[in-house]
Amino acid sequence: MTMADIICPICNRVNDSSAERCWYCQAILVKDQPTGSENEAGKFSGVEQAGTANHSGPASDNQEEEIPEWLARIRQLEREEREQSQGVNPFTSAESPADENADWLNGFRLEGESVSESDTQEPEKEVPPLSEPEFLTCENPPERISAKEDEEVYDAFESLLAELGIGPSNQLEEVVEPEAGGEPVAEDLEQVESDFLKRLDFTERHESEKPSDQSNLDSVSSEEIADVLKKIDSTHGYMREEETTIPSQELPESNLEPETAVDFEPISQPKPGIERNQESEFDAENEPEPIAGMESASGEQSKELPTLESSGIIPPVTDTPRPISFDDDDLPEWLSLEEPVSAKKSDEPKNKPTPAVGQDLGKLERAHLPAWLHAIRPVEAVTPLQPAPEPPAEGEKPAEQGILSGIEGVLRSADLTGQIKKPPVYSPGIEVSERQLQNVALFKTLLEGAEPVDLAKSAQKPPVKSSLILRIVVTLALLAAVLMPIFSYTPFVITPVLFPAEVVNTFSKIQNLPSDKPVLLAAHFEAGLAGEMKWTSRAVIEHLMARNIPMTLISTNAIGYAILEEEIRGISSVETNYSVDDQVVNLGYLPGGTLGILSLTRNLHQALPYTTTIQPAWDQPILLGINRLSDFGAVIILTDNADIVKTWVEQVGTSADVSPILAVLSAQAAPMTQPYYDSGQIKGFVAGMNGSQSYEQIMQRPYQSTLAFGSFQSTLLITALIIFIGGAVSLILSSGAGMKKGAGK
Amino acid sequence: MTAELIWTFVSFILTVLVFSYLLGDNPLFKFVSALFVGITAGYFAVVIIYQVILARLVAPLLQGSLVSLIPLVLSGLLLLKLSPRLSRAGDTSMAVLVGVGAAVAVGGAVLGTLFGQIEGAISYFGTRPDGTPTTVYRVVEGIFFLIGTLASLAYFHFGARRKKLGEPKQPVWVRIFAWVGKIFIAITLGAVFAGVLTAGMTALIERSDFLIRTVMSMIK
Repeated sequence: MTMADIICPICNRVNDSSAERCWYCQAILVKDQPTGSENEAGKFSGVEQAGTANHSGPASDNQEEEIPEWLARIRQLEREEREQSQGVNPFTSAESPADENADWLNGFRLEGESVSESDTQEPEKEVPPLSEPEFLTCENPPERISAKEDEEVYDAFESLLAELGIGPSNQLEEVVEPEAGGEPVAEDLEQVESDFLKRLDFTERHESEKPSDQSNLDSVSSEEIADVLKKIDSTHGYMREEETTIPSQELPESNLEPETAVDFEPISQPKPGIERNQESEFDAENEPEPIAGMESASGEQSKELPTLESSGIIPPVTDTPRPISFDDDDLPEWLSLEEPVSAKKSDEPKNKPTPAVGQDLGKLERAHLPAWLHAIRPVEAVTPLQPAPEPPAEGEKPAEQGILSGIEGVLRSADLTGQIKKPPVYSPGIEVSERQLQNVALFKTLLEGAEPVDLAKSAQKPPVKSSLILRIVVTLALLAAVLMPIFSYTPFVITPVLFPAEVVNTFSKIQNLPSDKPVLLAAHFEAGLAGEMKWTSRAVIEHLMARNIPMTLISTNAIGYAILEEEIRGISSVETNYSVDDQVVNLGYLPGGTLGILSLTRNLHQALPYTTTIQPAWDQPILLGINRLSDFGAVIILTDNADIVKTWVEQVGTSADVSPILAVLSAQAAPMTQPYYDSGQIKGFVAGMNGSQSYEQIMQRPYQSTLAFGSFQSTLLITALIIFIGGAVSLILSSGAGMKKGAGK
Repeated sequence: MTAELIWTFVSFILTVLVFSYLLGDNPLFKFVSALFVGITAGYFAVVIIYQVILARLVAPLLQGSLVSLIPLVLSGLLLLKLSPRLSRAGDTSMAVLVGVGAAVAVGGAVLGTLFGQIEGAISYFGTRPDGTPTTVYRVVEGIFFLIGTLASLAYFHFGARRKKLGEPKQPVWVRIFAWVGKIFIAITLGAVFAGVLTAGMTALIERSDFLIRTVMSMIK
């Protein structure tokens, strides 16, 4: 420290002589204040130095002359009292380190606290009592000074207060005035000093908080915080105990390190409390510590610490190092029940040396909201204060509940308790529209009109034998209708005189076919109707065989060509002149359905490459010279499905280069095939036993169809009669049930 | 005993077993049904192998036809439809089948049925398909067909206009045509039912004739 250093009258710290404001508290420095060298030499400051007798040199002489009379008188009285009490108080010892560090402002501060200990509003005032007031402890009381000198000193001090922003102190004047008239009362003096300290502290803080926008709010909140702090103190006694006991015990041992080091000391102290408990995952070691110098300079910490202290979380910050022992006796009840983690964290600062400030500068400091902002934050009201705990590592903890309890490595499900919402409340009534009411009425009418089904009765009914009997009766009637014409010598046949036009046209087409051109027979029928198709196609095939026309067999389903070949071989036994092996080529199954039929018009050889015996189809003698469908004499479709005829007409009949299309149909396919004949798309067809019988009659070669035609007619007659009787009975029964229902109503 | 006689006897037994259904569902009928299904499946497999795969796929490949690789690939992709995981690979084959089949069917229906039937209906009022001039009876027949066609179409016309503050109603003439069309449709369905019944009675007569002939031949 050089001779040019200036000691701040507010924070009592050494500043450079060129500084106009204090580096630490930003207070305005007075140039005529004692320099740091002077302060260092005597460890006194300000007016206090002037009152000491240990000073030497001209500077100290001047200081003695500048001591006001009232102050010197007070010191004299105090010294006398101290001598009378034989210096019992250890703080009054001149060799006490506390005396070296104390100044008259600290004396005033302590006096203020001692006077109104419970009325202390600001936490900064809770500075531990470092020492007794200097004017009480000085062995050499200040000499009495003249009234002029007193007035000069008073003017200088008043100007200093004006620069600090306090303004002319009326209270001080009020104190001084009676002092000038007579001897000051000690109690009044202490009250005045306390009030002065309050004003001084408030002004100091107010100046430091001027740049902040929160000055008003913080100043208000600080008062509220002080109230809360007092309540907590009165409840737990924790904070007060820290303030009163620790400094008095530790100060003599700490040898009073420089204030710069002392300012950092509270930073390293753990702050047990709710916030730390809430941040259970927050490592105390890594927690960045605030910079004391910055805090004191900005005043933020001075506002924030009371907030934490008022909530009973953090012990008050003191300027002296305080090794904190969290023994059970020292801890409050609520804190002693905390988790071991908290205790561990609180122990860590004990064992570890206090880190330097610079070590934690690179770490981010966890932000603490000011009390007023924390109180009005709306987020706190809706979100939990405690952050969601991170799930433990996989395999770290076993499951605590559920069927997997006790098993390690189980993924923990999300905690949905916070997401469970109260289900919405719906109105118990049902909103029904008029249309729905109408539907309900209609449904009710239907239900009332329907007869209830007696399940018991239906269950008690024995298996219906009436249906079996009816089935047998119908079967026997049909069999009788079939067999009676066969075994009867009286013919029941009514032979049709007129032949259907389509049958006549078919006969004409086949009759006019050239015998050297083969006919393509395309079959597509199911095995169930093979008997009908066998009888229906027999007359046509016999006609072809009679004319010795070669035949080429294909089928668009898998079984058609086999049944057709078997039919042809059966007929050939009658037509002995026709050689099936020479005149018939079976090309087998044509796959692809519609596409297969269409392929016949595109490339006939590729569509049907082989016979059923895997022989090249178009190398057969009867197929030589056949390259397209028009080379066939005719295309005869044998099917029980009208859609097959339609497909052939659509895919093949639209081609201009096509032979005439004829059809041999089952009776069920005739109605839907008729339009294609009427439109001329097919040249003729023979459908069912009726068409076959007509064809045989035209050929004048009655055979199977003619022989069975009597059975056919009688069976149809019986069938029609059964349908008529059944309909009549059903009508009667239904009408009778309706009459019963009407009578019942 | 010849093979024909054996097969005739087998056919007789199976026919009688099928007729046993007159007494209700019984194991004999079920046996015949299962036998029919099994024989049909086996027969289909043989037909497919010999007349489709060998004749239309393997033989062309052996002859060096590279075009046959296309159906081979498409068939292979279609087989992947059996696997749920790889079934998407068979979509290409299915797309070819459905697309080409639909195109062919629509084209044939328009050109073959629609245009063909229109031409046939017009021919009632002009010359016949064989070139002979029309007659009065044929014109009347044509008018009858035309009315029946329009009435049937009117029956399937469900559109109606909504009147002011009332339920939608069809015009009167549409409802009359629809009622007439209902008659035509009923006659058509009756004719179809008669054809089906006739086919069934024919099959019954054919099987009864077979049984009688077989019994008679066995008696003789």
